[in-house]
Amino acid sequence: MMRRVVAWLNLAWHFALHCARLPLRPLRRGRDARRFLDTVGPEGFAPLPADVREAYPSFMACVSCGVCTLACPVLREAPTSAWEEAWTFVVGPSRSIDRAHLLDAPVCTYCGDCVLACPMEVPIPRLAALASLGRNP
Amino acid sequence: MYALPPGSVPAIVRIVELHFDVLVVGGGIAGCAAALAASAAGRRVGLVRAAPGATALSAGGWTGPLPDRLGAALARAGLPFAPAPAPLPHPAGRLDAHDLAAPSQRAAAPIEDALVCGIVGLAGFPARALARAWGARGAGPAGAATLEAGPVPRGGWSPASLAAYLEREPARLAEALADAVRRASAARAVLPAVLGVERVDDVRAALEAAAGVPVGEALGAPPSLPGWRLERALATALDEAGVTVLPGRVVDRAMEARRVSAVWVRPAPASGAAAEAVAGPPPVESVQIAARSFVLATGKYLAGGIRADDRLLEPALGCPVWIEYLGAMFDEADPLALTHPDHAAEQPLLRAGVRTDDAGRPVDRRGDVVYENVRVAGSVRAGVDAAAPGLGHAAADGWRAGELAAEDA
Ligand SMILES: Cc1cc2nc3c(=O)[nH]c(=O)nc-3n(C[C@H](O)[C@H](O)[C@H](O)COP(=O)(O)OP(=O)(O)OC[C@H]3O[C@@H](n4cnc5c(N)ncnc54)[C@H](O)[C@@H]3O)c2cc1C
Ligand code: SF4
Ligand code: SF4
Repeated sequence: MMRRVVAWLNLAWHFALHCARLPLRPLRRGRDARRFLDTVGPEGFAPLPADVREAYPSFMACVSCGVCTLACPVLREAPTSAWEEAWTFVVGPSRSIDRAHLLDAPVCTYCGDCVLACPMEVPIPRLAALASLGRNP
Repeated sequence: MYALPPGSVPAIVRIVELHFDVLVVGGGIAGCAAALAASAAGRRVGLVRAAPGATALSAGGWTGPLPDRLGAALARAGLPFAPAPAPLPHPAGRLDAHDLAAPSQRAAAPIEDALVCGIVGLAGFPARALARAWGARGAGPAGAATLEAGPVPRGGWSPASLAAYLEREPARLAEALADAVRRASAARAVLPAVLGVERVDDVRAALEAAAGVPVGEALGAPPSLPGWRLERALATALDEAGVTVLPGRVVDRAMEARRVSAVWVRPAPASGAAAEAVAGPPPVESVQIAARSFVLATGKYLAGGIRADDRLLEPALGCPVWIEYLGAMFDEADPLALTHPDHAAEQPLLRAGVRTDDAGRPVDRRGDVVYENVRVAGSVRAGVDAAAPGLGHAAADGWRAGELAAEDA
């Protein structure tokens, strides 16, 4: 019984502190954001802004056929890690939304050849851009 | 941070004066055969294709007939199909019976006395296990080996990167192959379908010169290089025949009486710069293309010819979609009710499609023709199983549709 009371009082105290600090928030935006990223980053979660999340249904249309990779001219020039290829950086982030930044940076030059080849009209270069940017959000 | 725009941009509509005798919608094997047939009949032919479909994913065997002139066109494009001497080895461990095959697949059969060769760093082709699996279905292969093709990239080879590498640098694999074939005293060598993206003849010639035996490729699982080569050969054949190919997706049609007079096409997005890739493509303009007759050859689910949302629909021309289920025909069935939990059981959903009269024209629930100047061909038709091999059936169907459409025009 006593421990419960202490727990509730503790919660109430921290809530009061939180409310009292609210007006100071705009001053510490950057620090808060940094702390948040430092916490979720090592876990492998890259926080996505709302507009990026909105684009996800078009990414998730991917059926893992791999045709994008066959169409990519960059691959003709040099052997590449399978993790840098179009269908890997598409299939990966389109299935686990917040893990884009765990991929290798794609070798993509944004030429768009893969988009013409994709049967599901996945905006592939946008995922490549996301995979590159997502590495250091 | 970075910004990706919300999905739909309002399309700007542009009227383009494009007029064809015959317009083919869909660029798989059925659509290409139709376009070649109509152009052989002397018509001005256009072909709208959204993207590669099932044809580009096909494994490399050819099931069904091959129209003579299509076969000749493919041969001129570097892909001469001929009867397969025996069932062809598939990397899933099956031996698939196909009527015809390209040279590199033909050289892989029969599997008896062959040396099955995997490649270090390439997943999906475990030579020893495959040799056992194929052996269990016939007289066994001579043996299995895993060869080095070159410096394995971090993360391993993918079929595409290995094929591209072998086009430049077949020497190391050739050496390893010669050695392994000699030790196993095998009659032929069977490798995964990665012997070049398109220049497969050159790569095979280099390997055969070193090994002294026929060197063949197994069938390809998606992403399938044999399917991709077929796709490229078809593009060459269309070009040779003077067919105008328009990359884009048909999204609507204009009608006059019971005829389609034109289709609305949303062109494929142009290639973008890095900035555009992040920001999303600019708004797309739709163009209108008129023709006297049309061929609908848009494939099934994978290619987008039939869509299964909460209802089944055919998005290009809006033809009614039919499905045979429990002996009855439905056109408003819930897609989920049409699949069977046992994946080996019959799946009625896979046979849904556009039903036609004897002349290939789309019909509605009562059997009345919906569009008099449209012929339907290939796997978009009702009754054709989306998952079954059938390039040849789709091709023959498409060829006939193209001839009929040429008569309509
Ligand atoms: C994985 C796999 C492997 C296979 N392997 C074999 C094999 O080894 N041998 C064999 O004989 N058969 C095989 N098949 C079957 C064979 O691929 C198909 O039967 C055949 O390709 C069907 O051809 P199609 O032209 O009807 O359709 P598709 O090849 O699917 O072509 C449809 C075309 O229509 C286009 N399209 C769709 N909607 C629109 C629109 N609105 N506007 C414009 N264009 C549109 C698409 O972009 C595509 O170009 C395989 C099938 C699959 C899925
Ligand atoms: S846009 Fe990027 S992934 Fe796509 S084909 Fe071009 S280089 Fe390859
Ligand atoms: S992005 Fe498109 S082409 Fe690439 S694997 Fe997915 S569906 Fe296939």
